[in-house]
Amino acid sequence: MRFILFAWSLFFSASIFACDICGGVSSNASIGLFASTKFHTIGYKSTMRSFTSYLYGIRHSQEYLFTQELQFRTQLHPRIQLIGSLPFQNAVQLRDLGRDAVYGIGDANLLGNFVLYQNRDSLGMSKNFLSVGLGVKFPLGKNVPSSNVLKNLYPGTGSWDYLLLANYTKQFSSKWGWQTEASYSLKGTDKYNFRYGNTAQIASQGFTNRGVGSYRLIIATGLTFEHHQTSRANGAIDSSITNAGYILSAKASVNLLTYRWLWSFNVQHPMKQNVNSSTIFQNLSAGLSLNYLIKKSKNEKVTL
Amino acid sequence: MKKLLYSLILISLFAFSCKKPAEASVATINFIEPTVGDTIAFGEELHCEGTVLGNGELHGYTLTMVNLLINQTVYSASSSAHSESYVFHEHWVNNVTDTATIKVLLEVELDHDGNKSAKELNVVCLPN
Repeated sequence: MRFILFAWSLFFSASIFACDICGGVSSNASIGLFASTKFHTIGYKSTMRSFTSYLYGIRHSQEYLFTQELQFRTQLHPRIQLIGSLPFQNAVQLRDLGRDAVYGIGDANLLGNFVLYQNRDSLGMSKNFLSVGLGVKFPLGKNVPSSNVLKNLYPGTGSWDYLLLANYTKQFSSKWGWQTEASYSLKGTDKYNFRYGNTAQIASQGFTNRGVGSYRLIIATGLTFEHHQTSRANGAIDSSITNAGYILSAKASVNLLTYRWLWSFNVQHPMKQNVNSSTIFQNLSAGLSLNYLIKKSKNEKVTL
Repeated sequence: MKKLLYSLILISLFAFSCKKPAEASVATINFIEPTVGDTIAFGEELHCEGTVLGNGELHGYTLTMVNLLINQTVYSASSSAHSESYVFHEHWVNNVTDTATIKVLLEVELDHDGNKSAKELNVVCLPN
């Protein structure tokens, strides 16, 4: 029965991570469920997002964005984490009469996360965890002027972007917890004098942590709300390219923690959205990641 | 009695789900871009954008661009999607070597018996 309920919740809720509306228009960061752990990690993440676009109220195209990411996290100090990633993106637009594909390295990002408060119980399990992060996204990815109709498929914003992030994780018991994360992405201006709108995101999810033999299974489900401000070209609103609007999504993830590896699968599905006056709709997204855990000491416990 | 009721429900579901939309007898084609007589510089895109609205189900459409100077098709693409409306948004980069008139033609299939609606317009493409 529990399995059926879980399968049902995955099928009907679904959801992602820190979401971008289109190609390079990233990104609200997320340090995710494992924020309060102290492992160094290196890993790989693969994500798929899709959108449906409308023109004059008629379906015009379907966009698919596949991102492969190399990522790492290191604990520089008991209160300082450094998190980074380098994405590679493949984007495809399918229309009635043709298709276009854009691919390339995206914008690398680096985020410092500072632990403001953390208390643990006698077993070493984190009870409360509060952190703030400051990050930067480097304009390494391909980017084109706003006159290019495929601009939103390109993997770079072409600008230096800055990230602010706050994370609070509350563990009620050894099996249940709650996490809330808020982030804000401040977009810069590219060399064509185009600036994507700033984005804000707030996500909240409950999670349960269960033992499966010698492994840990962490299942989470919750909601994400993201808001995209208007994009501007030469200081004026560019209605043809902007992604202004909001998306409210349900999300879920399943994470399996073994002695050295962390496997994660997550899905996200919009429940309510209005982007660019309802001319763009985000569809179901999914991601799979695998991280290698480099433990600081042999005695370190796997706790959230 | 129950069996009869279930059978009726199933038959009704089947009948309603299989109802085909009526075929269109006419389609309204609207070019938003280009407009008649537009001049396209060498290396620039001839941008074709517009809508097709049928009064029933349409059976696909073809967008063609023909260089009338040399009577050569420079772009052609088709869709066989069935729908009551379409939106097209395609590009061709002007690479003519002599000043040429390009005919932009959109043909819509109203049915599978060869009945069509069509609209065309001409633009001028300049060489380098």
